[in-house]
Amino acid sequence: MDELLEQFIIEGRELVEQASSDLLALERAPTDFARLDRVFRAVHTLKGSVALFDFAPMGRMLHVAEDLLGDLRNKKADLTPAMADALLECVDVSERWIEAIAQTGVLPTGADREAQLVTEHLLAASGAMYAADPQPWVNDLLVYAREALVETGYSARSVVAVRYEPRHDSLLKGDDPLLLVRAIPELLTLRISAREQWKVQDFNPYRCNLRIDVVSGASVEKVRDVFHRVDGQVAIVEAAPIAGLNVETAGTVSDGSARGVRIDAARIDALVSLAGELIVAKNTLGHLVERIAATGSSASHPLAANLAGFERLTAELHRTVMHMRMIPLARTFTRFPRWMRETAGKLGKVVNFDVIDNGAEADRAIVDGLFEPLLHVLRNALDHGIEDAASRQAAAKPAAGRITLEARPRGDKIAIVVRDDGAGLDLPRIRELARSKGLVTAEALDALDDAGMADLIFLPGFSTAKAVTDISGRGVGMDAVRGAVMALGGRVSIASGAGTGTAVEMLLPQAVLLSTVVTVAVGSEHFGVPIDAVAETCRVPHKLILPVRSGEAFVLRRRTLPLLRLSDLLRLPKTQREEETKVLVINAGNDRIGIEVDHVRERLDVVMRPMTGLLSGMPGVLGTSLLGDGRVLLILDLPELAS
Amino acid sequence: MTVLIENDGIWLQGNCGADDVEPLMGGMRLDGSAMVDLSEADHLHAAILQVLLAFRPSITGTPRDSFVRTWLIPVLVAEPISRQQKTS
Repeated sequence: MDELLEQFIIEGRELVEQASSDLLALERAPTDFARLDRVFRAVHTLKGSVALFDFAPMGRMLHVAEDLLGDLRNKKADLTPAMADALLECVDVSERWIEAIAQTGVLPTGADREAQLVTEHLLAASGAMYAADPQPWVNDLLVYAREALVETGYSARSVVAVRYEPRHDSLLKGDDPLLLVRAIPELLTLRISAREQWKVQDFNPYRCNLRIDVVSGASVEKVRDVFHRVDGQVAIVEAAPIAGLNVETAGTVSDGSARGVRIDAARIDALVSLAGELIVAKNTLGHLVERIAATGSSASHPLAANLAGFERLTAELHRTVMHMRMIPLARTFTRFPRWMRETAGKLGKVVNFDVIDNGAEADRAIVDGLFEPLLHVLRNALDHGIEDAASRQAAAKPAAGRITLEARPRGDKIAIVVRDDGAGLDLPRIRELARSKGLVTAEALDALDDAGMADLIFLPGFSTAKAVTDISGRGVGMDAVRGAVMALGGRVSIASGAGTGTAVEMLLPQAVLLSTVVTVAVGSEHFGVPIDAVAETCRVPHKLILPVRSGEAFVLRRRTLPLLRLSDLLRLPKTQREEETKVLVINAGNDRIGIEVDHVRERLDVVMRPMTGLLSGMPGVLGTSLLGDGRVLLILDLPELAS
Repeated sequence: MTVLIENDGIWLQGNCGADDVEPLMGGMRLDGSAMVDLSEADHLHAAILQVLLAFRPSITGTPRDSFVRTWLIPVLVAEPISRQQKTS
């Protein structure tokens, strides 16, 4: 965690603690101005620090609290219990968030929604939800309707205030004002009072004495429609919420209260490692059980049954542990909105960016691996997708472009889509570029339909950008994106409509098929060997290696095993043997064989991609894996090589 | 539609319109001790509402109509300031 954030956490904890105890004291003694001043400055300072990081909901919430405290400080209002409640709530939430940040570095899920609620309470407490209207009855009615508005979620939206005072003779004329009230759409509040005091003696029920006040969430036009026949008897006013309470479209209203325990990622990796070793041990056990079965012992059946149970448990453990590596995709997504805002600013474009995340989860490796390709796709959408203001205006599009990032489960996979409402792919230009760069022959180009044409952008060397961006060190262009997504076991496709926009879709497995491999070195080359193919590894002193017939053998626990050199099997140059040779003991059919390597390196969890195309039939190779540093690791099928 | 008065109780049933005002008023007591059951009231005409607001009878029953239930009952059962002043 960086120093600045650490400082923020330390300072933040102190500030909220101070503010909390001061507020509690203020509740009992509301005129203690020294305390009030301290709370104001604490909130002010906290708000300032929050601005340094990407904690926008927290900043917004603190801003509203600061405003309220400012009013109190300037004696524009007195501290009421409702205000104290709301302020304490704000401080409590801030405290909780600071702890969350201390653990994860980010605000918890649902923070946006929570900030909105606290803000509404703060505003409701200060009675300042709506801009004061010149007609005092509107303000009075809105204050009366406050709770209903907050509860129904209308406090940040425009509403319509109505005061209907039917003429005294309207009932005699056969009108029923209550029928009109029934017809008002989206009724949020109804208040009925008497214009003049009711006279019970000489009471005339047909003389209308009612004052009917209504707040509606419908449009002002719809409300006016209802009252068009009696518009001289009714006042209809649209009330706008105080500007500045800009509610972000939070795509998810995820609960955030999922019960969980925070675990250091390194511990999970250690578990994964252990689970892998357990599988190796299980394999050894399996072999021993076979040996016993061969002796015809009566114990062999129960042993085999027990082993089967053991295998099931090991596999289950492995699956469960792998599942622990699942994290929400939102983790990767949280960095994007701020980046979007800044980059859009730099490119001089106005863009509304929405992240729609339905709590989708995937293996950590996938979530981490998605960041760069997604960043690249988002950059493309912003840079090439969304047109400049003039072009958008000419095309009668809203001035602000719209980019959405959505993650959705699809079967056992996850679909991640980046959509923009920009100009779409310039297919003729793509065609021309492919042709001029010699990437595709003219005949092949002619045979392509629009979808095929769009797909050309994934060809290496295609980049249509004039300026090379510095997004990924590994390469620019959609081919890098496709490579990265495929390395995670997924695929990416693009769809586009001329003038309407583009959608890039990545389809990824949720649970990465990770294989644990042992890496070995032969000379300067590295290879991977699936861990469950390895019964054990050992060091064999030079002198215990015996020449036999056309090869070599060695003794392991009183058994003689053939010894093959991996360099021979792979036709690599022989290397100098050391004092002790490192040997992988593998099962080949019913036998065991030792495979000599130069070095046994670390165990890795990798996504193994099977060989494709021409290489798919290649003997001795199970697949490849892309390592973190960009190297490609060839994963060997040792039993096949040895046979 | 109907104002039923029996055993010191008044039942308002169905769509209570201007015609029901007279019978209803007949059942009202000046001391507010009348009891009006609205469980089967589907609508209250403004004049009916005025009678109930002026005489403040006890309101009972949960109206089956949602508008009456959600919006008119709270108006009818709210403690009026005038009543408080009356007793002093």
